[in-house]
Amino acid sequence: MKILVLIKAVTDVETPLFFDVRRRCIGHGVETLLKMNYYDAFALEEALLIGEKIPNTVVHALTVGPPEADAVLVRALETGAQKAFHLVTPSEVSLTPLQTAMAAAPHAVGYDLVLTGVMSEDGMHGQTGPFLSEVLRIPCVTAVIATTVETAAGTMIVERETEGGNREGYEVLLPALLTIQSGINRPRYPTLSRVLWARKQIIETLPAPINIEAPRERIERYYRPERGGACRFLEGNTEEQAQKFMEICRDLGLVA
Amino acid sequence: MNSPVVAVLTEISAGRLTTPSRQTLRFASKLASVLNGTGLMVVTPGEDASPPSMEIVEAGWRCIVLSGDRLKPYHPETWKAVLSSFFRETGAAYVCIPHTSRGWDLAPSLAFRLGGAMITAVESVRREGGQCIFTRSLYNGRLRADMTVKVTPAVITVLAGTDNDSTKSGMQRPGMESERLIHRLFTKGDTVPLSAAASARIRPLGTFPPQEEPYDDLQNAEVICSVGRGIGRADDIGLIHDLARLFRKSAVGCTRPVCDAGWLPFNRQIGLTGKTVSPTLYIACGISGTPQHLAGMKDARIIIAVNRDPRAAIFQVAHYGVVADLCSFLRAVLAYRNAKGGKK
Repeated sequence: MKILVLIKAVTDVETPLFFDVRRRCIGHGVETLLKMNYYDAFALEEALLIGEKIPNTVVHALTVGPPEADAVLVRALETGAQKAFHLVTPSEVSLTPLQTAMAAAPHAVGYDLVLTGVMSEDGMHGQTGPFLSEVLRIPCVTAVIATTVETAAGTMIVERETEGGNREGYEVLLPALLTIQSGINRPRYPTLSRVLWARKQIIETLPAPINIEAPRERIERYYRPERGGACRFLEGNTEEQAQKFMEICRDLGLVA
Repeated sequence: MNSPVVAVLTEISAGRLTTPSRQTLRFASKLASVLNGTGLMVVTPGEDASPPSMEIVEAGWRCIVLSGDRLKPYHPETWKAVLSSFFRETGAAYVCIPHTSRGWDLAPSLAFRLGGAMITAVESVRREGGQCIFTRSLYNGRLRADMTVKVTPAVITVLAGTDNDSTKSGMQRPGMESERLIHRLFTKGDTVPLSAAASARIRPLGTFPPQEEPYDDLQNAEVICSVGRGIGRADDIGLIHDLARLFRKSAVGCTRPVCDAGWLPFNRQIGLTGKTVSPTLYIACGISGTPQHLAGMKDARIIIAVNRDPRAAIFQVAHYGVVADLCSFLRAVLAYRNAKGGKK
């Protein structure tokens, strides 16, 4: 089975964010750390788990992103992917999900299964996977929380998560695209031998076609939400804060 | 007949419009007024929806019920095909869909097939400088963005209830002129039977309940002590349970990443894909405050948030904030309580 995992490099949550007001984009400062999108890590792990069950499975990783994004592809190789592809975008350009899907599509043809996280932690659009399935004209199921491959039938049985922890089951004909919800599995850590192996691998690198589709949406401005004017911060050292906290709770009449 | 400017896709549960659907209707009526639009078309697919459709028509909006066996149960491929051709035919410029598991399954494909724009999890809309501005959150809630669409139709998923200026009293009524127009044309919802090519590529297998025992204490609790990734490690979650024991009628909940890591079961999860709660007091411990989590708890009467990051998004909804190391703070609270001689 040939599986492609679409991975995004996102800013680490601890990193300070800069935005360029004039160009209306999020910039990357010198201290910016990029890491694998939380949800894509689950997608990669699911691909590797399928590979452990189905003989002759290969798992490839693809990212569309700036030069620094190759770090997440190295991580994918270290974790168990066999091959990695990087479609490089200029650092100051941020593609829309549709542009990303269209750039990735020619490289996603020929796989039995395409996996990606349900959304990215930064954009939080949840669009790239479904758009890619539309361009590839393959079925798509989002927020998948369990998978089983039915090799003989050429299908997969998947469960997708709905409200209240309920699940909808589907049998999906391959090739198909699934967007993966967090909690489906526990992503593994790389082994030392795999880390050493990954260092010797060549990531296939190509420039991403950034002009194939004009953006259909525009970000007019970014801003930090107001530090809630209504929020009253409890001042003092930790003990003083604890005391004030308990006083508030007591005044509410809720303490046992 | 005017082509409706704004269409709303609604969901029915137990014969009634769902809460996210009602909130999406409120958003859409605001959008229609921002656009000086005359039409709001409410679409309820896959149901025999007479009671909810009458409710909508009585509010003055046009309601279209899409019925047919092929639309039941929910089937991603069939619904995408039916709805994209329906919206294309009716020429809606904006299609508002609740940001629910069904919504995010459908919306991007609808946008693609309509050749239009797509904005996910929009929290509010306003008019500014002659443009229609949609606001949403990014970077796990640390940033907001104002966005516009460059083409129509535009598909918008609406993250219900985070719009601070949504009128709680109900849907906005249409302007007088459009009201007359709509009442002249319809006296009840139109029912449009649709046939669709059954998709052979996806076969529904049914719905299954959650794998875990339900944890009803969350819904009934007066005080919820909720823990996020900021707790650092599973071993320290005991401190949250200790905190909960200080209160009557309390329960322990958490954010999704805590469940993903296996630190607490999924039945404790509060948020968009978990439970929605409205306790008297919600104590958010080490929770950054992503929109997905806020969607599940922002209606708590009093919210106290503890986080070492003063910029954490949770402080935008909290009534009281504590900027501190979480475990040190919790230990200080317990020590203070013990020193007072109260029950542990």
